[in-house]
Amino acid sequence: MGSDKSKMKSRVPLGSILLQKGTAVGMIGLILILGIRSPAFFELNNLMDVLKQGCVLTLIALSQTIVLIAGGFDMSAGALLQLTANLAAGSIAGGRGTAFVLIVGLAAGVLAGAINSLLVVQLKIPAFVATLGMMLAMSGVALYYNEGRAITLYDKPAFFFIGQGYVGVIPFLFIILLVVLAALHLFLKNTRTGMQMYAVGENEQAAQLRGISRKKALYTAFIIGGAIVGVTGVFQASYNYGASAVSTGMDFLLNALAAALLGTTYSKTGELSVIGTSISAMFISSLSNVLICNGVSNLLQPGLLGMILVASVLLTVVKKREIGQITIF
Amino acid sequence: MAEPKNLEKGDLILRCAGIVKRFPGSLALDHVDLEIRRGEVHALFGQNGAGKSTLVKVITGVYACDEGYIYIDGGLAKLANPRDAEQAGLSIIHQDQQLVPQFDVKRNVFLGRELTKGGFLDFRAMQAQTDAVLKRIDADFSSHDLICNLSVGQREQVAIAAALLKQPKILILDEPTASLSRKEADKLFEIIRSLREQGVTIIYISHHFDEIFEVSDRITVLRDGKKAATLDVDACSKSEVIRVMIGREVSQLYPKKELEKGGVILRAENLCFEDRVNGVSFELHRGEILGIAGILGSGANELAMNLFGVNKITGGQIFLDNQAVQIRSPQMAKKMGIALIPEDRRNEGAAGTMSVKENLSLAFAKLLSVKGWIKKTRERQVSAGITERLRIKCAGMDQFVNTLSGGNQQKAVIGKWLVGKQNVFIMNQPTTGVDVSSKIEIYKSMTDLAAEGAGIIMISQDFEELLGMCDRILVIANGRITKTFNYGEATEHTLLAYATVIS
Repeated sequence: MGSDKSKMKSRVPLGSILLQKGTAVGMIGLILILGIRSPAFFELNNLMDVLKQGCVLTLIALSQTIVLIAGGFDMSAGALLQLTANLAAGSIAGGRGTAFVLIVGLAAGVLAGAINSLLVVQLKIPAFVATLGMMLAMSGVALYYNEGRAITLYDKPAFFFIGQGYVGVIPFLFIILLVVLAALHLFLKNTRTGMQMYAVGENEQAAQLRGISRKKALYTAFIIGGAIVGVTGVFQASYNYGASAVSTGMDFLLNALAAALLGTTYSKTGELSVIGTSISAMFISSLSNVLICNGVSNLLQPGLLGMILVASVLLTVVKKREIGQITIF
Repeated sequence: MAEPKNLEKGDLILRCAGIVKRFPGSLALDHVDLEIRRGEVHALFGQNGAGKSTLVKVITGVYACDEGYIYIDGGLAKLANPRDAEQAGLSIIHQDQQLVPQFDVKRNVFLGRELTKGGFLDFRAMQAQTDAVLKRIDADFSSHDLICNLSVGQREQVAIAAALLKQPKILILDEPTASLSRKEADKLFEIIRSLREQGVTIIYISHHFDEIFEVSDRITVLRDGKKAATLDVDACSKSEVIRVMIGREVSQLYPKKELEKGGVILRAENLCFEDRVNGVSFELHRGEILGIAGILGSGANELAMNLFGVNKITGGQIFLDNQAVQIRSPQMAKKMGIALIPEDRRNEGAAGTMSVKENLSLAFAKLLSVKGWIKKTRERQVSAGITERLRIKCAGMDQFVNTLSGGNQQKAVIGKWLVGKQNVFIMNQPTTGVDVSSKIEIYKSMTDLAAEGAGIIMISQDFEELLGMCDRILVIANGRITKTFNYGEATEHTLLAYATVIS
C-alpha cells in the first residue's frame, strides 16, 4: 500500500498540469510557432480578418455547445445554417430588407429547434437520429429553394455590413459574437434555467430527483441553439456575398462539434463551456489562415485538427475518469 | 399491531394506512401500515425485495399507490409527485446520492430550488446557507468544494445538507451506508443522533441489522411486501427481528448440514496475483463449504478469478487432488472440474437472451453433442432434470434467462455446471440481489453439492450468510488471509474487524 501511495503522489501533479493546461498550451503554442514563422499572420489587419472568419464557426459551435450541455446532440445545425443562408440570400436578391431576412433567419431557426426538440423530447427519438433526419430534410428544402445553384449577391452594402463591416478596426460580426457569448455565459452560469440545463446534461437522474425537468432543458437548448444557427445563416450569407449550393453544411457541423469538444479541455472538470468553445472555434478557424500564411496548403487543416481533437479529448476522458465519470466522449 | 402506549393526538407525524402498490406481475406492497412518531429515528427493515424502496417511493411521491392513504401531521396528503412530498415536508436522501460531480457543493445543495436575485442566481446567499448547514452537521469541507473532489462519505453529507436545507419534517435515508467505509458510517450515525437531538424525525432504511440497532428507536419490518411487525428497539432481541424479517427461525434460513469431510480436493500454496493477492494458502476438502469473507477490494474476487484461470497467478502453486496444476484458462479449469459462479451474473454468468435450456447446456455443450451437433432431445432431458432439481421457476425450458427473477437466474447459472461432473465450485457473491426464498434454494443446492462430495468456496460480502453456511471462514484483507474461523466461532463483528484490518 505504502509504495502505491507514493507512486500516485508523484504521478498526480505532472498529470494534472497536462490535463488542465495541455490543450490550451498546445493550441496557443501551435498558433504562436506558425505565426512567428510567418509574421504576416500577426499583422493587425490579418488578425482582425482571422477573427471575422472565425465568427460564423464560433456561433455554430456555441449552438452545439448549448445543446450538448443539456444532454442533447444536434446534427442538423450545418443544414439549418445553409438553409437560412439561402433564404436570406434569396430574399435579399428579391429586394427584401436586412431586418426582414434577420427575422426570417431567426424564425426558421426557432422553428427548426422546436421541431428537433419535439422529435427528441416528445416522440423520444434518439437525438442523433432525429437531428440527422432534420439535417436531410432541411438540406432538401434548401436545394428546392435554390434549385441546386449558388445565390450570389451584388451591391448590397447595408446587408453586407453585418458580415463584412468594421467598427473602427474591429469586425462588426465579432462584436455580435461577443455579445452572444456574454449573454450565453451569463445565462448558463448565472441563471436558474442555465444551471439546470448543465445539471440535466451532467447527471440526468440527479436532476430528475430534484424535480428539474429534462424536457424543459432540452426544449430551451434546442430552441436557443436553433435561433443562434438560424441568425448565423443570415450572417453567413452576408459574409459570403450570398449562399453556396452546398446544402448539408457538414464542414461547419463537424468543426463546430470539434470546437465544443476541444473547449471542454479548458475547464477543470472537463465541462462544456461557451468560453472554451469560442476559444477552440477561433483556434480551428485560424489554423487554416496560419497554414496559408506559412505557405502550406490549408488542405492540411482537417488532418491536423483531427489529431489535435483526439489528443485533447483523450485528455478530457482521462480527466473525467479521474473524477470517476466516463461519458460517451 | 398493538397501539403504542401514551400516544397523544399529534404524536404521529406520518401515518400510512393500507398502502397497496402493484407492478405488472407482482404485488410490491400489500396493505402496508406505517406509523412514524414525531422526533424518532424509525428504521424500515427488510430483505432486498421486501418492499422498502417501493414504500419509500410511494411516500415520496415517486410512485402513486393503488390503494391506501398517507396522513402527514394528521392531515390526508396527496402526493402525486416528488414536489408534493417535498412541500409536505418529506425529504429523502437516495441510496446513490445523486449529485452533479462537476458542480460545487452549494450548487448541488440548491439544485432544483436555487435562490435568485433579480433573475440571476444569488451565489452569496446560497453559500451562506450552505455553510451554515454544513456546520450544523460538522462537515469538514466547504460550500465551494467540487463534488468530484469529495469522498463518498462527504458526498453523503452533501446530500444530507441538501435535505436539511428544506427544513423537512421528516428526513428519509435510503440505505445510506451502502457505499460507506466503517469510519464514514460512524460519522453518519453521529450526524443522525445529533439531528434527532435537534428534533428531526428520521426514517432510516436498511437491510443491515447492526446499524439499525445502533441508530434507531423503533423498527418496522417488511417482508414480501407486507408489514411483518413494528418493534421497539429497546424491547426486542436481534434474533426476534431476524425471525420477523425472514418469517421463520434463523436456523431455517441456512439449511446447513453437518457432513463428513473427505480428503483435500484443492490446495493453494502461497498464491500471489500482482499486488492484489499476496500469498494466500488454504485447503479445501470434499464436502466442505469454505467461506471467504472480504470487503470490496480485499482480493477475494481476484482470488476467484485466479482459481478459475481467468487471471493467471503470478506466484504460488495450486494443487488439485494433491497434483500440482497450472490453470491457464477457464477452459482448463472447467476440464479440471472447477466451476465458477461469477459475481456479475448478468454479464458473466448467464447469456440473457438465450433460453433456460440453452444456458444450462452452454458449459457442457460437448457432452450433449455428437460430432458438433447438439442433441436437442438430450439437451431437453438434462435441462429438465436440472430445472427440477434446483426448482428453477420458469414458464418453460424456452423462456429467456433475462426474463427470470434474480434468484432463478442465479440458479440457472449454478445449474449450468451440474451438467458436467464438477467437484470444485467457486461461488462469488452467489446471493446478491436475490430474494429470501431463492437464497434458501441456492443455499440448499450448495448443501446438496457438498453432500455429493464437491468442495465449495463461497465468497461473500454478506457475512451473515457465511456465518450461516460455511464450515470454515477465511477472512481476507489486502490480499492476505487475516484470520480463519471454524463454524460457530465468528460473529459479524469479528469478521468485519478482520476484514478491515489495515496492514
